[in-house]
Amino acid sequence: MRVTVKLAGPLRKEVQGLIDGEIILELAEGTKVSQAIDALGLTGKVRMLMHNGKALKQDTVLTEGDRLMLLPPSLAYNMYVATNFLAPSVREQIKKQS
Amino acid sequence: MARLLRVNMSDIITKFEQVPAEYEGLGGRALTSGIVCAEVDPTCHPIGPENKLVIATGLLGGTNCANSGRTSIGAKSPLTGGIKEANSGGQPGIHLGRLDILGIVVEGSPELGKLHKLVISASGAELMPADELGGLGNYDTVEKLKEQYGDKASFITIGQAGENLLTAASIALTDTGQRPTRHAGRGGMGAVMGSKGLKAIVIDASGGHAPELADPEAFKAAAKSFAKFLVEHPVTGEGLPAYGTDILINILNEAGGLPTHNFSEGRFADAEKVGGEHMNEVTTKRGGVCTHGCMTSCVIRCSGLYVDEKGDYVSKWPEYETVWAWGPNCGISDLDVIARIDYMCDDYGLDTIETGTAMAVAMEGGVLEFGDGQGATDLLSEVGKMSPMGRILGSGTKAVGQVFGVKRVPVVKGQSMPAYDPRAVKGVGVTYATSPMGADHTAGYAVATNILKVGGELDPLKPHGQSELSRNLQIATAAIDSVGLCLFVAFPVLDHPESLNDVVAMLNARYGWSLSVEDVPGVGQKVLEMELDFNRRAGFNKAMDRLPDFFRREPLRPHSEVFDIPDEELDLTLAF
Repeated sequence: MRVTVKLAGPLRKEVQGLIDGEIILELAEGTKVSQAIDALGLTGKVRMLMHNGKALKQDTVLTEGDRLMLLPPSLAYNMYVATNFLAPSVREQIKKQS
Repeated sequence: MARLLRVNMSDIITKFEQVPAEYEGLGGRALTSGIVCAEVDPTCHPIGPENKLVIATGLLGGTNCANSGRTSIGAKSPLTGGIKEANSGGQPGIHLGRLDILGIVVEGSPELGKLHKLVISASGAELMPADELGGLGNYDTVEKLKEQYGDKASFITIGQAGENLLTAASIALTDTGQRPTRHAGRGGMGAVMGSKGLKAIVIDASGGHAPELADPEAFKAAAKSFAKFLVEHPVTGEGLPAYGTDILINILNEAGGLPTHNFSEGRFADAEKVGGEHMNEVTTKRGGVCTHGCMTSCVIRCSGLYVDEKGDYVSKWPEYETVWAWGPNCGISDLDVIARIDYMCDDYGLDTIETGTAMAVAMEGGVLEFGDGQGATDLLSEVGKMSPMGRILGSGTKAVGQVFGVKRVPVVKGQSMPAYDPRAVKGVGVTYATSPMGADHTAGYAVATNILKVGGELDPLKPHGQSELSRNLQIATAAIDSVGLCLFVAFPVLDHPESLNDVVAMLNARYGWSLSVEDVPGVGQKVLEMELDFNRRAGFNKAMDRLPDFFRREPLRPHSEVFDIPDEELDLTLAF
């Protein structure tokens, strides 16, 4: 299946073959969001994440035609956005801390 | 000892006074709102002699605390009819602090048609005729002032829009390169300055000194620790310096919350062409500057210098809200055009948000096609000529909507919304609706110390919890605005609540106070209570704490969401 991933700011320097900051990944059926991040070599580098433009509370299985946007800690800017679109792994971390 | 400078434009006299007891402990927004609340009749005409223009440094202004040089400017707003505080970076806040001036209160009004400049230095303050500056834009005004007052002074000026009392007029403050690029943009503060016949304030801080500190050692230690937090945090240490605020274009576009074609879509097909990544790339390629501080105490340096293909200066890096207002919202996808428009707005002295949103409404009204960059540039130039069309555009979004019979007019309390669609990012919609300032993102942009916990449970498309988020943000922002800190210091505070201890330690070491971190929300709440009280006395009511009806009626693509936070929740947001 094909999934489009848009990368923000400095993450663009970490992945080859981007067009307008985007790359189309060929992934096996059943691949999860976290596995797609791993496949791009961005494990632990994503603080905010959008799945089809929406907040994602838990890691989930991707489907054909999905879109992801990945953002590093340095771009967690606007507070409304930063607090709304925390990546599931970051949400888990915060839960543990609190 | 910090002083107030009273400037009477009716009698053309200036007078220094000790800060009166009722204003002690106030700075920045708390001081401007405190003075406006106590001294301005809420029912007065905003451009009449009864209104007062208050310019204040923050409580840490002039000290070596990083990012503490913001300048707050307040008055009754000609745009909203309520209280207004707009704050800005630039050098004046630092310079005023070094001259022991906590606030300037401009009162009365002069003989019609007379312009003055206020010259402030270590030896005093004097009003002088400035008719030779009449009709000049901010850039030419500053050039003339530089010839006379040298390359160390800073300037607070108005352009043609302020002189002609347009309700979208801003007040310009010069940056570290003496460019009039930093603006107290919102709410028509430039028109109030214009109504006082005050074209410029010259601040010569040579001979000034750093403010006295009650405990210099404690201050130094806290300032050092606070700066370290700012430099080491990824947002303030890496993201903002490299990409500026315009990085938000692609983020909001992905979230479906980037208002496009006058708030009729949530995504812009050409977002990538005007985003922060592209601005960084173009600037680097052309030899511009990607990392530039607007004031000397800034360690974040989120501004930049945008240049053309020959490497010549076009404007400072347009902020995200500027790029959005003139880009996606007007359907314009050429960053060169937007940067030139940014320069024009800075020169005429216009709020880029209000005017850009007004342009989009004009486009919807059939004046121009969406996407017509040349047409938008030509139309904006009418403001410089003060033609009737220029006056209409410079009077803001609501006025343009009325003139051209447009129903989709994105304003609250008469002020245009900025760059976040409240149907896709609902928390910001609560702030737009309830802030005493009118639709304003900065009124709730910062962060309370407990926000991570709140944020972890939030979904931007769901109504639940947004009111609480907005309340916390509005309180925290009012507190930060009063200290005179740049709002972006909120990021280290988000991840490292102990950095807030440093801010409190600096306040205590500066003034000999014994505040604790727990007192901070109280400071913010008190400011909001004063502002709400002023607005109530000006005739504001709950019906004005609402978004325009189309946000509840027209679903926004791509998420097909409407703004569905109940009125009762809006009413509870700031019900202290």
